[in-house]
Amino acid sequence: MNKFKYFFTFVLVLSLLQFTFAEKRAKPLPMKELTDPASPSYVPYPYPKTKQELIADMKYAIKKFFLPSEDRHEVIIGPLPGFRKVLPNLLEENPMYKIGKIIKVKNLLSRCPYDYYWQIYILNEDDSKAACVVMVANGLYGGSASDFPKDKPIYIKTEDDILGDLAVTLGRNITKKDIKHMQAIELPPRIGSLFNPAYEIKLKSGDAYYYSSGIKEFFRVKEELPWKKNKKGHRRPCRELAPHPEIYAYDQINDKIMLFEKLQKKE
Amino acid sequence: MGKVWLLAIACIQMWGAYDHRYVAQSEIAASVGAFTTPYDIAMGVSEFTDSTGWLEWTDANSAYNQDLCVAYSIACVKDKVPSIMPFYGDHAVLSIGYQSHADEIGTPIADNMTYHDPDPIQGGNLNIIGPLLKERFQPTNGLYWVVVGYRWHVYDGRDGYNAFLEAGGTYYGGPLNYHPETF
Repeated sequence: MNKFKYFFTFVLVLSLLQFTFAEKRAKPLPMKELTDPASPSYVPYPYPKTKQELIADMKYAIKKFFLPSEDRHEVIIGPLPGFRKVLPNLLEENPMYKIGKIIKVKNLLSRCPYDYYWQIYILNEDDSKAACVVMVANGLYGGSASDFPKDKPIYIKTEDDILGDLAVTLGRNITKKDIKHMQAIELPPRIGSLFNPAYEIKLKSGDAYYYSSGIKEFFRVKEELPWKKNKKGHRRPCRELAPHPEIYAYDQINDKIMLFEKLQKKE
Repeated sequence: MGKVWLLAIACIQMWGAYDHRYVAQSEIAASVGAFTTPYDIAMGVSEFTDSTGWLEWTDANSAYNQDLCVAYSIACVKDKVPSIMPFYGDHAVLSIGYQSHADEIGTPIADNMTYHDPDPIQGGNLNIIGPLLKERFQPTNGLYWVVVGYRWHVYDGRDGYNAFLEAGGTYYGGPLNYHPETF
């Protein structure tokens, strides 16, 4: 035992060092700010746990930000964006739009206090995407996207659709039994964005694949590069390390850049 | 200052479209380069839009400096001129709207921002709340920067712009912080 003590000490010091250098997430808002009705960060249901609570928080945000108000200082160049029509419509008794799928999206940005956010899809009558709303884990409104091309309606893929596409790409059958873990994930800048997250699919065999809902391709990690901060606390621009935007994503929590390669469809 | 990626060219193109100037991205790329520096983007704005573009930047050493850089963009949009902002360090978006409030010293703070992302899959119009904006508006080589333009300079052309600079002009009466040679 004695002869291993230096080894154990070394491993302990190494793990402590790694812990110290790893970038921590930003501090979350205090609960008091979320629960005080006088606070600008008040939400009806802090950290919503059910679909109903999340939707109630979203509707509260729509009233706060997107209903006409004389007190608000606002300027927009050009015509009002589509979400200004779609989102307030959800407050009406018989809305034209419906609330569709809600997904939990993991993020790897150290400035985000939470490791996930919610994405709510707002659908047209024909189930195509009319808008999507991002809600922060604490129940605050995060953002929205709208005005998708009218000539190419976007339909939201289910996890089954994505697995089916993966099976076709790999040229072999893949079922849910083969999946160890499947999760939506923000992989900036291009593989998975705030409003178009990627899907991380980890198989029980140990293989991991990523589906980019923006690029509509499957990827796998080809290489991981260290991405530490320098003494001033700055990192090198990603593009100095990764030449093409469609094949890299960064992970600020684990200080690395992931280089991807596209999966080629098996004939 | 590191290079930013070529989608900044699409931002210049979208900005030009607000001024009814429709230019191909290849033409913009031929002028400012495919992989552009922030300074090149500002030059591209001058060339392909009705605004004179220039760079506003702050050291990325405080949260206030980030707010201040966003404030430059708010001021620009209040003047009905878009502004280019880097996202995720090396992606770029075109800011076209803000809801804001003033802090205790009068600096406008973004409650949320409306913008276009050159990536068409994102949707034509996007909106992001202040805290999430600050998470994604990240510095390049230790600097927060935005490319802004000011339409009244256009009325007086380049002479008006130079006169503005000679008068020490910048948003909010701060020190003139335009140093092209830095970039």
